[in-house]
Amino acid sequence: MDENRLEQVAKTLGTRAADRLDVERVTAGVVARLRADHAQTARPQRAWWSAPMVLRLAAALAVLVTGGVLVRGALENGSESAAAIAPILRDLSAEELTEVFDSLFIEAPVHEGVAVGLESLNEAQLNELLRLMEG
Amino acid sequence: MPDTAPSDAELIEAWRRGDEAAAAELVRRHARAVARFLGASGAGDDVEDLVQETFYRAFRKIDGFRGGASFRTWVMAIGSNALKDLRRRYRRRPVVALEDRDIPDAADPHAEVVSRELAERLQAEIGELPRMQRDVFLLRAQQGLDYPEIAATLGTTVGAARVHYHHAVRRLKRVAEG
Repeated sequence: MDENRLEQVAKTLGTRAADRLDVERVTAGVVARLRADHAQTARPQRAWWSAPMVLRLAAALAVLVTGGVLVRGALENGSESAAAIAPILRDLSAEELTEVFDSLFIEAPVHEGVAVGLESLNEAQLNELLRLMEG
Repeated sequence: MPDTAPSDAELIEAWRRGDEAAAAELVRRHARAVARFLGASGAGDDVEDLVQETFYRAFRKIDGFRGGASFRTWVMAIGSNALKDLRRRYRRRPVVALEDRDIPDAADPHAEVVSRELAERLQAEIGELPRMQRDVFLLRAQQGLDYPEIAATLGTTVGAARVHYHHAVRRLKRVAEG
């Protein structure tokens, strides 16, 4: 095959691809991408505080602060917790109550060597018990 | 009556000033030629996407166009880069669709089959040529450019362009005669 014939064949290659090309669609696609670029560069610079990373950090901080306030409130609101626990404790027998005390590593209040019920606890003992039950 | 159609250079200047319509006109003017070049390079079914990507890249770096070559051949060189990037991304060999062939002599069924078969083999081999050989061969054999313009477009010397062309032709002849 001589070079001329080779060039002749080469001239025919890709012709069908060119014929099938939707020029208007390509043009619209190019212009749309250029326009998007232009819009991107024309957009005013974000304020430093509205950058995505800063916003994420602010959101995380807000969650931590809010969570802290709620936990603190729950801890400070001990009387409500004690009120919720007290009826349960009231139903426990002296042996069961002793088990509870043992599990909490506090000394069970005893009266002359005999385990006693909840009604035998003084206010300080009951408060200590409730504090430990709240964890 | 004088030809009032703006030249490529005028459209390029207009686009540099932000005239979108000028960019659109340049695409309309050269898209088919670029598609033909990319089709022959083995772009297969990706021709349309590649043509769009090629012009998008061209307009984004229009300041890099110095006018040493025509706008069309400069865009073709960008297209060749885009094709290389696409192949790297897909890690695939060029797919050459049968319908991309022309049928030079439809009146002679035998000649048609031979011609189609030859074109298929050549196009497959062109897709396998080293990029510089492929670009030089197509710019010369398909687009009819002379060596100085090819060299300016591809950023090489006239002598090197001749060597690339020579190697490409030798390899394609082997395939055609094979």
